[in-house]
Amino acid sequence: MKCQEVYHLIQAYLDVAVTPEQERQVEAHIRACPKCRRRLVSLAQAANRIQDGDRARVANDFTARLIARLEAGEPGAMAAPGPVEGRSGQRPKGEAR
Amino acid sequence: MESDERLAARCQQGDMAAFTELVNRYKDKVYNLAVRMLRDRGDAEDLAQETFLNVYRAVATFRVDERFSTWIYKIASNLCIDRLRKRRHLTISLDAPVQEGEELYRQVPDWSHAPEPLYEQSELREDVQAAIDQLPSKYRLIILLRHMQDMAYEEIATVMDLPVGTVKTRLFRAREILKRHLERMSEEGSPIHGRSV
Repeated sequence: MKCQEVYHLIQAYLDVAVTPEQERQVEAHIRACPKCRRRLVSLAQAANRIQDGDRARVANDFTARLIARLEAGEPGAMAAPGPVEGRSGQRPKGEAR
Repeated sequence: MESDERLAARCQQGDMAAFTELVNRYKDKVYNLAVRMLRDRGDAEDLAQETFLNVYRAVATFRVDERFSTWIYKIASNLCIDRLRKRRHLTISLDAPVQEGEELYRQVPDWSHAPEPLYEQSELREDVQAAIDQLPSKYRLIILLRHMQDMAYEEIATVMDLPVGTVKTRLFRAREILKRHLERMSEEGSPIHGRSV
């Protein structure tokens, strides 16, 4: 297999979204081709660095504040019929009401 | 442990305890996605609140045969994209008459305290975050859903209302850009912040 043919497969290989046959092809190619091997490693590193970032946490009173807003009947919070007048006037797209 | 979908079904019956449990399961996940999309912790927390208000309000439309995680990320993602779009709009129309003054001011990105405070808690290395920031917001969202939330192509496609093929194309491109950016930065030795890591 040529580098060009394996180009996109290397990306899919990273996502474990290849067939066993494609997996075999990618692995055979990168064993023989240092250039594609380097590319695969660099792509994997880029992905890992996003994965490995530590996760932040919301403030401790997050849930309490949210519930308070709901109980206060804040506009946009209640299951009111008709157009919702949220603070920013936006609704999630794709959430047909 | 009770499934998210089961909890959502209880929510539909007005069960506040079930809603609270869903909030506790997802608040940090939604917040982290928002932090990396919006680059502002205040905005991100605000967006997380907004997401759950929307969840509460729209829970009746949730179908129990879909995945709750996909549904809530769809809400959060749309709110992120909307907010970024508004920011962009604001940067070119700050002189326009203010209609909801307070709201408008709150949405102007406050670059004065970015990026430093962000990294105290959200320890994505700044070179990685800088590389992500280079991406157009829709590409950024795809790469975060894939690698932060560990979603498969099909799930991302559902969240973003895109064909699977488009998700793949954009993800692949985003990863190439990210890779090139990180390679360049490591060659240059990250001259912007000069951290000794």
